[in-house]
Amino acid sequence: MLCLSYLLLLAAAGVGLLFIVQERRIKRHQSLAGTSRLPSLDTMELFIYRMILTSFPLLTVGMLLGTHWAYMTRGRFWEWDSTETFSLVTWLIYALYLTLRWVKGWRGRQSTYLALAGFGIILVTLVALFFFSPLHTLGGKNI
Amino acid sequence: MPFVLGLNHRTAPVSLREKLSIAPHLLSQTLQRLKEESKTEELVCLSTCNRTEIYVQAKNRAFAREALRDALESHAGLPAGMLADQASTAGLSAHLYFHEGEAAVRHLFSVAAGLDSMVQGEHEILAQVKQAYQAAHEGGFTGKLFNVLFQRSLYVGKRVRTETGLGEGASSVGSVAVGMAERIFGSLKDRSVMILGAGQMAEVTAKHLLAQKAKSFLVANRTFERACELANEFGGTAMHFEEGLRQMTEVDIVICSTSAPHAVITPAHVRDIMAQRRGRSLFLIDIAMPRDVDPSVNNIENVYLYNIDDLQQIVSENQERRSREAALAETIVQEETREFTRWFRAHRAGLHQGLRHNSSTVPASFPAAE
Repeated sequence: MLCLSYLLLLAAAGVGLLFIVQERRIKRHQSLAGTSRLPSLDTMELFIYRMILTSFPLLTVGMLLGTHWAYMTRGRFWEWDSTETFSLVTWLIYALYLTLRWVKGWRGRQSTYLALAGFGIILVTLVALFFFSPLHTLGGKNI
Repeated sequence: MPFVLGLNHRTAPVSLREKLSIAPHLLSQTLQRLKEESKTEELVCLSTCNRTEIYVQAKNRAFAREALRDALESHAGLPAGMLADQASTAGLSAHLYFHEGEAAVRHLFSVAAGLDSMVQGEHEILAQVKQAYQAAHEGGFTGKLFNVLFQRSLYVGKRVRTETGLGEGASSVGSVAVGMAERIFGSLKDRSVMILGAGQMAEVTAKHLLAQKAKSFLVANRTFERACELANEFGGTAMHFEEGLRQMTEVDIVICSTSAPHAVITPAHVRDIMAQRRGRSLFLIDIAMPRDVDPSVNNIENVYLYNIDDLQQIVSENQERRSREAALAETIVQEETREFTRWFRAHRAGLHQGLRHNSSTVPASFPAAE
């Protein structure tokens, strides 16, 4: 569950980087003759939004399953372990992305930075999972 | 070595080109007639709206050349000798060019590469060369030499297309504006365009944008009559200037060209609009002199402001780029011409040598279709 959502978010982050580069070139009035193969800003932006929209429920369900599993095995839902904390931060960032977009019409550069930040935290989570987490290992259901 | 006899958009006016163009369904019988009249061994005829060229391999070149010229004249319905006789017929023969040997090969390769086209780098020509070759090949008018030569020209055309950016990059202010709009919005089909102030330049730029079939078109002007004039011309809606400023919440592309002595679109106004647009991108093209839009508007999120200098700058960058890419394409054509000549000499000497395909080598049996 989480794996799939991470893959979708990876796609969103990849396109997000392209978006940031292209957006900056257009804003700075640079010739785009060499970059003709990139899709338009609107297309990329919509792609990022759809990826995040699809992955968010998966992310949520994945985390709920994780807490359920933690309760079954350790008798507690949440222990503020590094993996859990970072996962929560990831979830909050993407929740913020969607909320701001729906409520305040946040689009374009700012919201793409937010999406990139979310994926940055995912990377940190995975690193933490490898090296620091006493409770979670890569074989666990939480991944 | 082969030679080529023909005319193109640079050497002949359209009135002459249309007389000499050969309809596809008449091509094979024309080839047959040309072959008989000029006693050639191999023959390909390339006829498009910008050129009619006959590529020929013949033992008796001088005879074939004269015979083909006569045939072209009769095809064009001109009295015999008209193309040849420079003095008496206002220099009609000046419209024909003739390249022989390596120059003919180079010419074919440049044509296939799109270097010889009216719009450099256009892709249509490669398909036309292919069709011309296929028609001649199916009719049995080509042999070993032309099979290799024309397949090679298709390869050169593809190579130039993939290895250079020939023909990329818009070359006028209007088309740069369209290009930028497409980079921001994608297809302009469901986008709306507004002109604020109805200057001459605005009209030109709007024409470019509307050619992309924008969904709706608004014209707002201080003098309402002029707005109506422009709106009628393009099939849009006319409105008063203040109403136009309010409509900025709805449209996607705004072309500003008022004659106001100071900026009429301020950052505060645009911020207000963007709040109502809920982040949808806004593309502002300021071609007024003095400028209509405060330059700091470009710092607002999702607003893209281009003034006439920004567009002009991109045009000149693109022009530089185009000439660089054309030079690169020329180099490829030269290289391939030398390579083909090398192959041809070896072939004539009876050596079985392959044609180098970029870095790899094509087997000597390359023209499988014989």
